[in-house]
Amino acid sequence: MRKIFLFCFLLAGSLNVFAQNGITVSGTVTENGTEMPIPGASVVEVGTTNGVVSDFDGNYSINVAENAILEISFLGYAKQQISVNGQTTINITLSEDAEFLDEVVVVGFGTQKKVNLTGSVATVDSKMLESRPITSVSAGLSGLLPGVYVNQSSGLPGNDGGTIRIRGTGTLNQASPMVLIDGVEGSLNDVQANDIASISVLKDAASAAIYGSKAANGVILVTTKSGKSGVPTVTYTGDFGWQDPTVLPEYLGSYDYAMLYNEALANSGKAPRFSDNDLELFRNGSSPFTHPNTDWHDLLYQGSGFVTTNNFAVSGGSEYTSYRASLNYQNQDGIIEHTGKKDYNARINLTVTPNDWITTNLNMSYSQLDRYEPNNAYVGGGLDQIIRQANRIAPWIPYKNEDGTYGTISDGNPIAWLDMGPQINYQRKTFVGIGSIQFDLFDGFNIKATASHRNVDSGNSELNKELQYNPAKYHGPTKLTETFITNTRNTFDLTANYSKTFNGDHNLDLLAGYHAESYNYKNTSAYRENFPSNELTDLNAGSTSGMTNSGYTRELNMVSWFGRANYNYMGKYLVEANVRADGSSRFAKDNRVGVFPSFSAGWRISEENFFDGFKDTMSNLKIRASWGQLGNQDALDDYYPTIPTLALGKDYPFNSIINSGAAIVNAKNASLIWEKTTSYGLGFDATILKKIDVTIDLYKKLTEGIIMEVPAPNEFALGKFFDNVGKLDNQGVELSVNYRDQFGDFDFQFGGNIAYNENELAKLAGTDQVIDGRKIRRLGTPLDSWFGYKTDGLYQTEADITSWPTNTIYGSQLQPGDLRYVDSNGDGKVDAEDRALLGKSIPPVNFGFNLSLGYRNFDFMALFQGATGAYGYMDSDAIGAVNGDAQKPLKLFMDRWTPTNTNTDVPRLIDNIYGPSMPQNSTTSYWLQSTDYLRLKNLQIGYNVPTDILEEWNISRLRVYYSAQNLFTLTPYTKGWDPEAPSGRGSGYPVVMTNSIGINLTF
Amino acid sequence: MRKLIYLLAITVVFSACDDSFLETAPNDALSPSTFWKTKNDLDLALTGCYNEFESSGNIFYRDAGSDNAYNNFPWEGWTNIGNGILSAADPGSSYYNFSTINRCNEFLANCDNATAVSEDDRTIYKAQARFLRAYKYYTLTVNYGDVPLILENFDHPEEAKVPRNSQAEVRTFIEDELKDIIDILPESYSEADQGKATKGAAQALLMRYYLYFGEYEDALTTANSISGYSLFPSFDGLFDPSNEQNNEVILSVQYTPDLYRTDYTPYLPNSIGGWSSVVPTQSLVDAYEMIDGKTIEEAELAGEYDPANPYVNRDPRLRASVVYPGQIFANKVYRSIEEDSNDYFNKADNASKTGYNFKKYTTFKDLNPDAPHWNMGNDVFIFRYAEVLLTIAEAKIELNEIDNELYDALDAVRERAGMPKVNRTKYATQSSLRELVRNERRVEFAMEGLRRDDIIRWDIAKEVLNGDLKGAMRGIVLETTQPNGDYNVSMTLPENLIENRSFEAPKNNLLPIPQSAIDKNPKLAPNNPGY
Repeated sequence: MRKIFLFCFLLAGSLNVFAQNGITVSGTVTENGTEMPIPGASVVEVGTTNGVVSDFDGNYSINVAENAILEISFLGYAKQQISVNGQTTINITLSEDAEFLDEVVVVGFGTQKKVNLTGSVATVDSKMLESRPITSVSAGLSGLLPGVYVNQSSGLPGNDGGTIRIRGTGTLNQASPMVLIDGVEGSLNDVQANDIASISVLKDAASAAIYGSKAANGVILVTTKSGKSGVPTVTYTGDFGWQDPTVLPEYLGSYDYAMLYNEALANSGKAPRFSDNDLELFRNGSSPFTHPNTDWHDLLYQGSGFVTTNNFAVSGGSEYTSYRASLNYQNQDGIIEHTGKKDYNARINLTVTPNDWITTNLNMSYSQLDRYEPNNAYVGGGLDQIIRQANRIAPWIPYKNEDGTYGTISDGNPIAWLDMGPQINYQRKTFVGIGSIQFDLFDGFNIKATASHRNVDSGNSELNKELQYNPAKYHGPTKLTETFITNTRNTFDLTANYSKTFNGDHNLDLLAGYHAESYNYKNTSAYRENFPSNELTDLNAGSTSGMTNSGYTRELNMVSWFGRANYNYMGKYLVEANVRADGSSRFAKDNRVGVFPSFSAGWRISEENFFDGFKDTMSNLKIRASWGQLGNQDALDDYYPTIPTLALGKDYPFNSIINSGAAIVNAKNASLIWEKTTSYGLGFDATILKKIDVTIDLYKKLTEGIIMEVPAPNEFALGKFFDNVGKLDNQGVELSVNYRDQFGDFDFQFGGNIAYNENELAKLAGTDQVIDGRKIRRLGTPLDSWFGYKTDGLYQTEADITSWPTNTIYGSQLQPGDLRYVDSNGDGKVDAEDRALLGKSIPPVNFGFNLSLGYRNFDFMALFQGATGAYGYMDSDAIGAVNGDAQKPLKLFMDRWTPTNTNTDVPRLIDNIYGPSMPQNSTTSYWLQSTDYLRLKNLQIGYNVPTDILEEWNISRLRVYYSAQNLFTLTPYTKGWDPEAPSGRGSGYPVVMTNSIGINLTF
Repeated sequence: MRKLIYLLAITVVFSACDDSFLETAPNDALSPSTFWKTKNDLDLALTGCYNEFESSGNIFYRDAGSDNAYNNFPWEGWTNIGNGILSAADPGSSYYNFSTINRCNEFLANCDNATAVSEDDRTIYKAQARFLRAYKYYTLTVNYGDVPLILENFDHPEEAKVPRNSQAEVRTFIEDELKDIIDILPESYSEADQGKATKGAAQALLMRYYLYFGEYEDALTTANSISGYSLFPSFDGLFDPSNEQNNEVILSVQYTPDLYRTDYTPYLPNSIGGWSSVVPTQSLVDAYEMIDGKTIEEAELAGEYDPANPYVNRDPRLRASVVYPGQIFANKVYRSIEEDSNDYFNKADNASKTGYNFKKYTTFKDLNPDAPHWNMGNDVFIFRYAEVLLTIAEAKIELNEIDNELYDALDAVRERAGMPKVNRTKYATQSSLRELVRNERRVEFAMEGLRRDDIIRWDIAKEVLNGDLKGAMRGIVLETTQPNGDYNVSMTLPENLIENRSFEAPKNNLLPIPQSAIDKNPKLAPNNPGY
């Protein structure tokens, strides 16, 4: 009844405003002490949704009732309320709220005051993502958060997201964090940077346990921007950029390579391939078709690399509604021709408050990514082979012969493939709709229901055109595969929240909730080959003979209950408990339900009386401690890991007619269950001299029951038997520092973070090590360490070979100039037993720091990011070899060992890519290189056009800027390769740097 | 009150989920709990046993482990078996696989649950599964000696860590099993079931088994018991896809384009898009007699063989089995001996290192150069009647029963190929006949995967698989032609040295059990002697 009364009162009040027109109040918002204007401060008429925001000079003007009360607030400053009492000019000074008492952060199913946090939550200010020429949000997070490691290994348009690891790699399986956008599980691809209001990363079990069985790898909560009531604003952000590879490998040209090839053949006792005349023709370039010097990289990287982004947003609100709608379009042309993407995004956030006890939200977003790349007639699969073959094909192979046909090696010609235009088209359309309604039923008690639907339709069309390179070389026939994938997730959440302060000192916050979701996946694919012409690209044009199709569906359902109790006494003693029980269709009935609890506590020492004396130097000091458990149910790709099946498709023809067959292929394990991670945390937060914020976190994260493929004996004869057997421990420390100050007209801000993570395998399935190619998983050592032979310089003489412990692996192949393998176990010979750990593959130390400067209308920002302590191993084509038409060596081989050039560490030449000193066959410390790096991730210089100029045009803000991504990198890594790129043969799309110019415009 | 209604409505909505919400199951795979009922179920499961029980690759590549062929690419698994540097850690191509055995065991354990199927049908179905299982155990024991004899599947990987059974036990099993099913399997099937294991297939396996283990008496008896088959009239035509089902075939790996295809890219020359992965050696080429039955050594003495133009007047099976320089193959002259040719050994990775390519089974490229060689449906023979005849001959020689039956068997095989009958005066003794029949097997079955087992059981691998492996001499293709259309060649430049091979007997008679298999099942240790 009181509510209805209040409602009528408000209604009357607002009618009053309209009826009386009120008065116009204006003034300036400034900072206490410095008298600096505060732009962006919010001025709201209390009890209404009427409000404005101060302009760049701190001026505001608002139409209110004569007896209204104004509330003025700005992040980092104490809120103020002032009665209008008929005044028309009210200047306001806001005092800095040194403790940021009101700063709230988004946590699971709600928000919390930062000072009251007891778990480990890191946040990103949207400012750090704005005006950057980033093409994926995940990559933009690099270097911003302590303990959040982002590796962006490729710049491929539309597929250049970063791999994110929070507090180390916690499992041998799917180790990426869960991402929720406005409370609904999704992907960072669903949202684009300009729409993000804030990002919270829940790093420990205390903060993430409310998400239970999906949260073991950490949780990223993205909140999108929403409208504020008041004068509508229209913003436009546009930028134009151009991309280049951060670095490219440099291979030898024809003349040098031909000389080296002859030398290598001679080293193997074989006749030279090139005569002196050949060499001379290579040298003088007089016969470009018979003796060319083709620069394959120059032919490959001909794309413009242009990136344009246009973002348009409107927002505003009135008494009952607030809204924000945005459109975003990004077009990206690759640094390789016929490679690129178009990305369209639309988002509407709408809040409607029909009365004082009901709040409804509608969020809808649609995004569409169209991405395309060329294909290759050799094996298909897109760019990978094109880049690989461009790294391989010898410079003495002509791009085109004199008659216009293509030069080839056995695998073809990469530029001939590129000349065929884009052939692979990927399309991904994502729709997300979220609706919620909240009932504020009683004082401090509300119930909220949220339903969501997320649908991702992706279609891949891979055409593989036939190619007659020249009369002798043909790849074909033309093939086309069309794949359609639909996945849909529907969720329903119901939460009840009770928040109350008793006797002024006891603050209690309770949350209980229910969650249900169903996830459906459908894959359909069709294939035809033998097209009558390369111009026909539709499935129908292909031959019906040999056509195939396939399709399957998958379903995953989950039902959960969760609760949280949060209590603090006078803001001094803080405790929180969470529990979540998840039931998942993924597991067998008896193991289906998992319970994930967490407890945490904090003590704000700075609030104690005895601390009063220190408050001037340290205004805030808090100690936090936490314990909790999380699950990882997404460890397996398998949706039905416990249900045994006979797979169809085990066919066999009788009388040339295919008969359907079925067989058990994989063993299933009915007792399989989630991986469980227990985490312990200890944290300190301090604010020093009201300017420096320091946060230190110590943690231990123990993952047990890691689902591993138990190495089933060949005699078991079925593939992939999984069991909960592995154990992996991570522990580490994180430090972040923020310093903000002002010197006259200079604004200055420094933010830095560094994290150290130690990773150790504690248990494997019935074995103490698993060697996987160049890496090993060995108990008591970091996950996926490099494993191979230590080497110690080169053999200089035959006598050297005899006196060194006998290398039984390569025996008589060894010659002076080859790598000396170290007899690690000291048994007098070098064999497989001498392989040892050579270094980490995952960097234990990650850091980032940023520096912002503001001077009058100019602003400057630099963000550096880096990692140390790990190694990478480039091999095969990435290093190259002296081995005929289908290899070429890197320039480093010019300094190879020869009997006359002995003062070098580069081994002798051999015409065998598997030679003892080459990187390919044996993993050696010689080719393992440090991936330490320091990178200027972002550099921004902006200029705000002065307000007095803009006012004439009714523009409230116009900023022009230059912004660059990955501008430079310092690294000792193998020359020509990017330290963030994956180890191996180097056939991935290069990591790119972007230079861009842009504007931000607000009306 | 209104609020309570809201609350109630919400409660109704979210309690609408029932238990079955969390019960999900795949819709594209069968569940064992409802399977094994109908004839269709048994057909599905039995076809699943045939699926990949043998492959063309296994058969063709195996010759690279003998003096017949060379595998150029170490990653394909036969280079190191051929040159003897194989080890437990790097075992090359491995046969140590129980997948088909597992499927057969599963079939045999569950077949009788299908009570809707007649007992007779079930018995024949089971006999087929037993044949496939025996075939795999034969392959395992020939390659590895002692192997675990697993006749029932395991529930858990831990239980599967079993030790090896002695070869004697495995042999007893194979022999008993085959004898048993010979009486069950039908002599033939309806046309729709062509390719299933027949009585003849079981007999042929038993025959091969006896021969391998030197039990000549039993080999002879078994060979003689095989009836109803005859040689296809032409050796060339035998490998033509259109003749894949003929009366010489006892059992073959069935293929059909698109859906169960076989890919001939690894065998074809570089110049027509092949990889030359497995290529014939000079030693194999030299094994083919002259058209009149002389060996090339004899012919050279008689001035009838010109090493510079060596492919003239040879056993027609050479031309049917090997692409040699000067030959027209797929409408092109094969010029591997000329430096400018795309097939010259160091011209490209995919050029044959020996100067030869295999032609057997790929003659379809002659008939239609545009034939999609990566998508062929030729069946690949596992047992054909010629093997029965040559087994009769060999067994009789070893039993020293030199009689007409012996010569007739050899003559039948030779005459079909266009060769003269055996010169009974020249080949009158056991030892000269032994040489002859061994060579006859080599040239008749080149590329058909028998040679490695033959040279091991004859204990000659240590001679023929030792030393330098050489390819063809080099030179030029001349303008003049032979009546069969082949261009004459002039090969006078030295041959290309490919590698040095070594074979240690008895160590290399068996392959090493892969270290990875021993790591997963330590009870397999110790490895075969010498590894």
